[in-house]
Amino acid sequence: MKKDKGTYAVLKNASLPTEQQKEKMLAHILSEYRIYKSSPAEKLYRLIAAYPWRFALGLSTVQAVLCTMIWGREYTNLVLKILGG
Amino acid sequence: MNLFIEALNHPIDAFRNKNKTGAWVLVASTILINTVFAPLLTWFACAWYSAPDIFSMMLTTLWGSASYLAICTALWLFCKLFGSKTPLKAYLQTWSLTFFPNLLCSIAVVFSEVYFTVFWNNSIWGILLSIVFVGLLIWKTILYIVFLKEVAGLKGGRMFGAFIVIGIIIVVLALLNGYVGLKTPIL
Repeated sequence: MKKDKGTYAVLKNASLPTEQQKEKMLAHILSEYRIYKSSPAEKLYRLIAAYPWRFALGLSTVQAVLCTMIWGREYTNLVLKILGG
Repeated sequence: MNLFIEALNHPIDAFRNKNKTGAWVLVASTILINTVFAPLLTWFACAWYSAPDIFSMMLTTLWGSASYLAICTALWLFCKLFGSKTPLKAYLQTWSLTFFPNLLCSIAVVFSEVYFTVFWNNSIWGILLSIVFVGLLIWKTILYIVFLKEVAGLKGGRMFGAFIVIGIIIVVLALLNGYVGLKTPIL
């Protein structure tokens, strides 16, 4: 019977999370908590930080269309000259 | 593949999970596109260009690696001055996860430079390229802010201060990158 208890203890210990796993779980819980208890600025930050390329390319499309409408090819050539190598 | 998708779509999770392999692949690809692919494409596309020099390719590759180390050290140093407790190792492992815009920018720069005559004075290509270039710049800035907040652990005024100071360092390093022949800065 004693031997059985020892076996169970080994199995129980093996199934426990490691220190690293515990830290990861805590970080996950804290980040989830921040999502629920956050200010409008924090919510906006979370929205942009998830899929940042979507926001960046969306904003860039607006500026490209508006600036090209105002300055025409002079603007696109300028962007190409400065950022295009 | 999931590792790249995570770095692309959820940078906060990617910073937290610190995927080393994916991070190094991103930096190495950006450097190699700049230093090996760019001269080769120029040589293939323009018949009158002389064959690329292997020594200069190796030298710019070294400059690219040095630039990555320099920006990580600058980030660590100035974030530490502004109160961050993150060790240098964490900066070296996670800053590379912000390299998706750099990688795409290096590809766009190579093609826009080699096939310059196609894009110059063309409204459609001009709009598309200005969306790409300005978009990548905004994307990198977002990742820079997310990095300062999540990895360096800075908030409010301290984060703003670090953003401005390191921003100036980034501009200086970008100019130095251009001087040594790295058209897309390895920053």
